[in-house]
Amino acid sequence: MAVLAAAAAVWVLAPLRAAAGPGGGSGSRAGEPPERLRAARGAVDDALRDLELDHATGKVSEDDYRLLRAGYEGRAAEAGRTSRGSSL
Amino acid sequence: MASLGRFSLLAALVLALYALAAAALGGRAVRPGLVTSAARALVAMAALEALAGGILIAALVRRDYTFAYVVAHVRDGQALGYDLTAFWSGMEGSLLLWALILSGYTLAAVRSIARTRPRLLPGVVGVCAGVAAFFLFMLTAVTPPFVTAPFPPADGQGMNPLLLNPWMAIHPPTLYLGFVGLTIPFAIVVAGLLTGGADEGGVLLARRWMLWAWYCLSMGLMFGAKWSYVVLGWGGYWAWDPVENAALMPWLVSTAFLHSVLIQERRAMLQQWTVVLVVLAFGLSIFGTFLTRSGVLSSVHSFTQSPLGGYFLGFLALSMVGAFGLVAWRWEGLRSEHTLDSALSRESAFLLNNVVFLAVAFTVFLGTVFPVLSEAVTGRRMNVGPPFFDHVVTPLAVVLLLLMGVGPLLPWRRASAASLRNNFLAPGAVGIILALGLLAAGMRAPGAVLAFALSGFVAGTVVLEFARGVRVRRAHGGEGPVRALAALVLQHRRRYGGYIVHLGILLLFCGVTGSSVFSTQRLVTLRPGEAVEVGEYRVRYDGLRQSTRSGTLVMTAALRAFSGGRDLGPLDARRTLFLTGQDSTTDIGLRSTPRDDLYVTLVGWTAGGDATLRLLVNPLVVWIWAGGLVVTAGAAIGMVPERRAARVREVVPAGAWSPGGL
Repeated sequence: MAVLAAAAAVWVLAPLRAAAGPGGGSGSRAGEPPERLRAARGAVDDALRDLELDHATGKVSEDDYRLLRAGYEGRAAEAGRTSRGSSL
Repeated sequence: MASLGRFSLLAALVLALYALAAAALGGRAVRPGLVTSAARALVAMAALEALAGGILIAALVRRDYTFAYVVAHVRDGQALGYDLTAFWSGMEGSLLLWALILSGYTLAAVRSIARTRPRLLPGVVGVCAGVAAFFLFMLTAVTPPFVTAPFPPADGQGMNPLLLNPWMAIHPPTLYLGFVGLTIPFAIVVAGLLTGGADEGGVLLARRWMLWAWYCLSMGLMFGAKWSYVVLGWGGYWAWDPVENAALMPWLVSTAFLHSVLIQERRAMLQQWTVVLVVLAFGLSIFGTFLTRSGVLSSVHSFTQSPLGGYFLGFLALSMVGAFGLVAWRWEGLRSEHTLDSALSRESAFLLNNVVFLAVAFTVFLGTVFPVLSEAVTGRRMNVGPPFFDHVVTPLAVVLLLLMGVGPLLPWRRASAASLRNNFLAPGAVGIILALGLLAAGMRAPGAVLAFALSGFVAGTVVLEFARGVRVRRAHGGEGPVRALAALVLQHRRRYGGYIVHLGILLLFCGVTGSSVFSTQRLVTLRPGEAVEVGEYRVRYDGLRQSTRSGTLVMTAALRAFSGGRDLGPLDARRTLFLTGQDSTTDIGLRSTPRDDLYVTLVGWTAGGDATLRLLVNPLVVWIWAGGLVVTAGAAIGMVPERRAARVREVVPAGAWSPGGL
């Protein structure tokens, strides 16, 4: 039991030692993980796909369709820029 | 073994407190090693909780009467299945289950957040650790499950007989899955606020968790209603009991969130509102737990009077002050860039829907706590009963039903006269024709005619949505109707899953309307051989049978049902008396059809063999349970992600928080 507890303690505390060296790093400086960017892009894609369906079924006027589409594409472009920026 | 259980919980508490402190320090000082260590502490905490849970389950199954908890909830002769459900039938076990579920959720959330949103990790770990620490504190200091009996008895007391029912076996854990599930969206939102604002991605992540919690709450409420219907023998499924209300309030708020978050995603609006709803839903989940466990309000579902209330209230106050303080701090940053373009738009309909959901939640809250408030102010406890809730909530529910039909058909931004005509002509006609048909058929209850007509209208809107989508797909892709329908639903899972959920709610609404407005009830005493008419049924009483089995006396009224001269078969109603105490349970006689339920309860009997029976004909009750199944199907479709992201190796800069260490 004591051995198990000691092993657990070592495992829990191990990251402290690993991060204690130089370059401990900063989470806020970390790049945007690709999955996050993909999720952002995916959310825009979902919105665009829904908008296309609304447009095709006649639920959105032509003007609103163009305006909303431009907004979503702007968000997609922004996600793309962030993605490129993070990879620099 | 009891001491090992106690040690496990104490060590888990220490780990939770360490995780809380390490996450706070690691997040503040931007030390990823501390945050990873905190996350690992949560893994170890979960393992220790699982060990404690395993010890308690083993004690229950082995009927180890050296455990006070086992003595209180198990007895010889109790079915093994109920020995297992005894795990959550008592205060201590239910809190341990709560902690276990929270640990499972926390590990899943931490893993996914470390991969997708590492900046939120310290906050999420810290909040989950804080909530876990509270429950572990309760389990170690206030209501410990591993108390040993000083003089172990030869047999236990067993569970409350009312709980010995399959629906009650699954009702509490399902509800807990929902209640506890609300912690994760709360943790994500708080973490977002701590790191500079609830970013859109964070709120979307919270939405997935909220949808799961909402689904579990829905099913928990449904199972509880079914239990009430078949076990309590009063003929109803919802009584506005404080504990029922405790589960309903977070359901209402989370439903509001699931609608408002769509506006945030599509129109970048209502961000402040969605954040408030997440905090409120979590607060109500803790408030519900407080109601169930404090004994401050009497309820058929609640645990006995206990000292837990003060602790829960303190924790609730602390978490709400902290979270709303954060919201206030970040308020300006959460302000949306866009405003409503028109009152006739999908955004406006969804906003109104949110306001009504909140109004219902507030009404339920007020009615639930009114006895306590009145006692605090006047010194006299005054209760508001079902009539208060029915009178206030019913009109609001009708408005919600109307919005359920109107909202999805309105376009974003603004609706033109042409689009209104195009979208509402056919469903409106369905509603009007249905109303006229019902009036022509002799239905004279105006509320019911309105409710059914609105249901027809909403069903029409949903069918129209499906039909239009299929038509568009067929026009563009040349697919057959079935293939087009399947592809449509699969490609727009959230949207069409949501519509299917709406259909389920519609069935439920019709069931509630039918059974509330048109229920027929008779209370009669019959001699053997006599019959009684109720609704279109005739029920004949053939005599009383008495039997004993494992410490119980079972009285059975032998009944036979007929309809229009047709023999529908036996419909026995029973009452089981427990010889060891004052308890008794009811086995109703029930014949269910899509049209109505014939429901019989044995109320009493005489030595001469006469039986007093309560007979009800409850129309459309089956629609309620069918609605639950349809909601399940819709929610399942909505919960599956619309696309599975291809796995890529994440290239994390040196020193960044890495999920690999968790």
